[in-house]
This record gives sequence, C-alpha cells and structure tokens, in this order.
Amino acid sequence: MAKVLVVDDAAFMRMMLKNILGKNGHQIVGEAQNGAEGVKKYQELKPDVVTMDIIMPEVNGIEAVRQIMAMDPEAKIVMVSALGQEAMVKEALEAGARDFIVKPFKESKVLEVIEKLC
Amino acid sequence: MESYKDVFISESMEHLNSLTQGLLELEKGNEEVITEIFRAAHTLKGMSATMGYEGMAKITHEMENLLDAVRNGEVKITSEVIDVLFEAVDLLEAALGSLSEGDDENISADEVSRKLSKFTQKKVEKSAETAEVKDNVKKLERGVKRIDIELDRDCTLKSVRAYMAFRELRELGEIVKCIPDEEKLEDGNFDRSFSIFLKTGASDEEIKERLKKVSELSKVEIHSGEASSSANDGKVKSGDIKSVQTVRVSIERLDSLMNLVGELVISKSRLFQIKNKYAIDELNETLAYIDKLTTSLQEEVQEMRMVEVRYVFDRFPRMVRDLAKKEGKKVDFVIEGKDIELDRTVLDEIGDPLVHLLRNCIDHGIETPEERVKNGKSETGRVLLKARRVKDHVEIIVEDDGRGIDPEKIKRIAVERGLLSEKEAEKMSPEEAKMLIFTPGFSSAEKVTDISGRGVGLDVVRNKILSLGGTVELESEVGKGTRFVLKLPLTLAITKALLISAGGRIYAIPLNNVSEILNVKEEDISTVMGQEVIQLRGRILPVYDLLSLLGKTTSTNGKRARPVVIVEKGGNLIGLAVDELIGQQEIVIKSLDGKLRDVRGFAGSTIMGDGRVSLILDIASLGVGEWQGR
Repeated sequence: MAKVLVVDDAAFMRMMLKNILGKNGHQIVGEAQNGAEGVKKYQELKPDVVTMDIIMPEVNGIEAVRQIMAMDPEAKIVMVSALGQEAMVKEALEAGARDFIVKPFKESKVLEVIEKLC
Repeated sequence: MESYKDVFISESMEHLNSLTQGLLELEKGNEEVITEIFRAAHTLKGMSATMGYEGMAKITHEMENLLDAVRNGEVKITSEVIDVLFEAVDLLEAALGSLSEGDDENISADEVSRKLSKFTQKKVEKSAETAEVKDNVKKLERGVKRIDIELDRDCTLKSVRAYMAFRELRELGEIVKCIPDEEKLEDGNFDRSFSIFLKTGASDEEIKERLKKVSELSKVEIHSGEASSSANDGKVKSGDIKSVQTVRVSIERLDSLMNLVGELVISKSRLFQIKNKYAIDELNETLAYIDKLTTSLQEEVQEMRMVEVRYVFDRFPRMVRDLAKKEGKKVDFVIEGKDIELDRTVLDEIGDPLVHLLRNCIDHGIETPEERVKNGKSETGRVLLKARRVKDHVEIIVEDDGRGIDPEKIKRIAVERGLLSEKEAEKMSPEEAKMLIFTPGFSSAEKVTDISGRGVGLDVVRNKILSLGGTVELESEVGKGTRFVLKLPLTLAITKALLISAGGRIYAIPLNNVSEILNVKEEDISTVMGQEVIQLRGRILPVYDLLSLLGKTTSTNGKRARPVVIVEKGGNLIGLAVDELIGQQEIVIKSLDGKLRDVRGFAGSTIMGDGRVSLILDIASLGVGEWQGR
C-alpha cells in the first residue's frame, strides 16, 4: 500500500486516479491543483509516491519535479502525460521523475507503475 | 583480429550468396526478399567494418542505403538498380577472394559506391557514418551484450520507454549501438521491439534487474557475444545463449582424418591376415568388433565430407542471368535437388564442368526470343539444373529446351575441322554423331563469343567427369532440347576396383571404368593395321598389352590366351590384356604427390591387405596412341 499525492489541475483526472488507486488498496493522502501547491503538499505530507501532471498553471509539472527533487532526492514522482508529450516526459525524467503514466489511464498500467516504485 | 578472418571470409561468402539469390528474386519481382537482402548487406557492413576492411564497408554501406530506399519505396527496382547492386556484389566477392589469398582487399570502392549512391540521391555523410559503425561494431567483439527488448502491445509513449531503458542501461555500461538507430527510437518510429548493444561487465541478472524498473516491457532477452566473459558466470540461463550446433572444420583436417581412417582400414586387414596365418582364435571377437568400428568410422567420416550441392549450384543463377542478358535471351533457370550431398572433393571438381555445360545451354541451346516464337515455342527458354541420388551415385542433369543438337550439322563441322572423313561421317549413326561434340578440337560455336567457344571444349568436361570416376550421357532432340546427365560417385576416397596382375605386380582398375571382362583365346586375336584386335559383338576393339602400355618390356608379347579387361576410354572401348584377374575389392585411394603427380596412366596408389602397395590405373590418361583402324 502506498501513500499517494495526486497533483493535477483537472479534477476529473484526480478523481480517476483516486478511484483506481483507492480501490486497489492505495491511500490518497492529498491532492494539489498546480505545481506550487504540489511542492508544498509534498513537504507537509511526505507521501510515498507523487503523480504529477505536466501541463499545469503557475508552476508546471517539470518545474515541480525539480523543486521536489531538490528537497528530497529520494522522492518518487510519476509523471502524468498525454499522448504526444514525449519530449516533456523525457525532460521530467531527466529532472528526476521515476516513471510516467499516460492519459487516458489504463488501470493495470497505473498500478504497474505505482507498485513498481513501492 | 586475424583469427576472426577465416570466419569472416566464410560467413561473408554466405551472405554474398544470399544477396545474390535475393537480388535474383527481387529482379523477378518478388519484393518480399528485400528485408533479407537488406539484412545481408547490413550484416556484411558491420562485419567488414569490424575487420577494418574499409572498401567493403563502404560498398555495403551504400548498398544498405540503396536497399533501404528500395524498401521504403523511395527507389524503384529497375534493371539498372539490380545491375549496380550485382556490380557491388562482384566487387565484394573480389575483395573476399583477395583476402582469402592473404592479401588486402585490393578493391577500389569509389566507383561502385558512387553509382549506388546516385540512386538514393540522399547525401549521407558516408565516411563519418561508416567510421561510426566500424567503431561500434569493433567493440561488439569483446564483452558486448545484445539486449532485445519488447514493449507491451498497448504501450503508448514508446519512445519514452525506450529512453528509460537506455537510461537504465547506461548506468551499467556503454551503449555502443542500437537497432533501430537512436533517431528512430527517439521518434517512436519503430515497432514494439528494439535491441541495444551494451558494452558492460554486468551480469545478465543485473541487467534484467535494472530493466525491471522500466514499466511496460513485455520481454527482455539478453544475448552475450562469443567473447563475453560473463557468459560463464553461472547466472546465465541456458536459453540466453544460442547453443552451438555446428563447428567449422577445415577441409584439410577432414582429408587427414579420412587418410587416418584409410590407414586404419589397411591395418585392420593386415591384422586379419596375421590372425589367419597364426590361427589365433582368441582374436576373432575383437577383430570382428574392430571391423565393425572401422566400417562405422569410415562411414561417419565419409558422411562428414558430404556437402550439399547448393554450395556449387547457388552461384549459377547469377551467371545464367548475366549470360542470358548479354546474349539477349530469355531464360527461366530452375534448380532442383540442391540438398543432394556429394563428397567435398567431387563437388569442388564439378563446378567448372557445370559452368561449361550451362554456358553451352545458353550460348548454343536456347534460341533468341524471336527465333523461339517463330518456332512456336514460348519466348522464355528453360534451363534445368538438377541433382538426384540414384543408388550409390549422384546424377546431375543439365537440360535446356532449346534447339537441340543436329547430328547432320555436327557431322558437317567435324568434317570441316578434319576430325572425320566424309565417308566416315556418312556411316555414322545420329547417336554417334552427337557424341562428336565431346571430341577434342570440336567447337560448334559459329562465332566465338567470350562465353563459350574459347577453345575449351566439351571434351574437357567429359574428361574431368571421367577422371572423377563418373560418366557423361547426352540426349538431344532437334528443336526440343538437350540433356546432359553426369553420373558421379558419392566419394572419391574409397572406391571399388578390379585387381589384376601383370608382370608380377598387382594393379587396380576402378570398377566404373570396366565395361566387361573376357577370356580371349588365341584364335580370337587378329592384327589390323599393325594393331592386335578382337571382335566383340561385331565391333572391332584394339587390344593392348597392359605392361607395354605402362612402358615395360614384356617377353610375353604375341598372340596367346589371356584375360582381357574391356574399358571405356575417351568414348571408345579398348581391351587391356593382363596376366591374371584377382578380384574385386574396395580400395582406399591415396593420391600421388610431388614428382609422381604427373605420371600418366596412374590415378593413385592403394595399400593392399598384405601391406603391398599397388598402383591404380587411370584409364583416361593411359597413352594408347592413335589407331586409325576403327
């Protein structure tokens, strides 16, 4: 079981992830709507895993990864990407993200990625 | 590096072969083979670059480019494209030839490369890329592992997954190469699988552990190079390394093995003689067992020396194509029975005769398309090359559906060339007339082309086959076609022979030369034009005293009752008078070396059971002189 922080500006996406993770025994410890909020929540909640959307207002996902990694080099961040965002996913991976999942979500894939990190 | 060279040469030959086959298929419109051709060129490129053969690397690189363009539909397959590709293959073959002689590549790659690149137009920085490949593959030799990775079927951001795999593997070593290339991987421009060549000291387990961190990988397979040290670290699963099923052995080694087995066979028969002489019954069982063992050993070695005829046949489609093209003829070339096996020594020898026969088919046999149509035949001629096993020998058939051999025309030419008098020609049956094409000095080519009619006649073909212990048969029908049937023994090293004695010595006559044996009475022998002759079923055969033929003086000259062995020589039957017939026996042929190599009349020697050496007669080179009384 992992404690997960979900960072996404779209409530719909947060809900989807919450559903998938929740019913498979993971605990959603917090949600954030943008990068800055995500960084702040990470500090407060110390989750096992963060799911991080890339395109978000104010501080985007990649920038948020950099900030979190600066605070905690051991942080396990999974990028949430849409099709066609290869370059950005790679950038996030360079910044320290561990893995990625692709929208629209497939339950099995999401679980595979999260569970691999725990 | 030098130790790789032999492997390099033989493997490259194989790839060139499949290139040739593929190109022929491609020309026929079978575009499916393009992947295979491409792979052959690609492999060759990698191999030659590794070995540092820059000319070959350059040519294959350009071939690869061109083939890639063909594959992608950017370049259309035209006769010119095929021609240039063949030109490249020729050059590569020349380079290999030169290399196997211990020389450098000795080729100039520039012209062909330029021709090849003309089709692709793409201006690739050739030298840079070739150098890079060379660099990469060089490392493959030591401690490089190929990791084949397959992504989940529904993986969406494939390029990122590949990137992640790269990232993990970089932690373990240096990535020297990947297939498809990095650019394609980055663009996600690949199917589900890709291969990474990693130079690493890490074990396969470590690599797998690393890649487990990457999601959506459905399969990871690790292949270690031959030189990889970790191949024996015990952790590798047996399935990870291809098991070795064949070993390359040089033909010299097989020859020497065959020789040793021959010696063994001889020693065995001596043992038998000793046993019999001293009547040692205890030896019976052991000797019977040794007998069985040597027989199996002999069979086994003989089996090892067998090579599929494809190694000779496979080079012909290309030759036939080139010839037909040059002559403006259309030929459908069919090969059958490629998997028939022959002794390596026999196979080596029949290449040239077959070249000659095939050339004959195209040059003289197959008509021009116009002529064929005029005669109510299909425009495209058919040439068949077929091997088949018939009992203890192999038949090779060379057949065409061309104009056939016209006995009248053959007679006319033979008379013109002074091989025959008008009168003789008249008496000659059509069957006999056809056989005239095997006469030395006969060549019916009305114009001398560089294809045939270069003075090497069919007589050379026939002699070659006869010296191999084979025969040549000819069937031909005017307007329908011609068929040559070569009958060849499976092996040369051991053969059946008739043992005879003459002048107190024993000689062996290969049984395939022997047509029959007669006991001639004194009154059967008459003299015609100074030559002793006998009549055999209405035919007059010259009879020679074997000893005098071998240059020995004989006191027993003259007419007397003695056994006569009838043998076939140069298409005619002759009789050899001997002192005594001993019997038929399997003999192990030992070739005559050094100064004895060129002694006429002998094909080799063999050791008899009692340890005595006897000479094997070579009927074809036995000098009987000319006898005009036939």
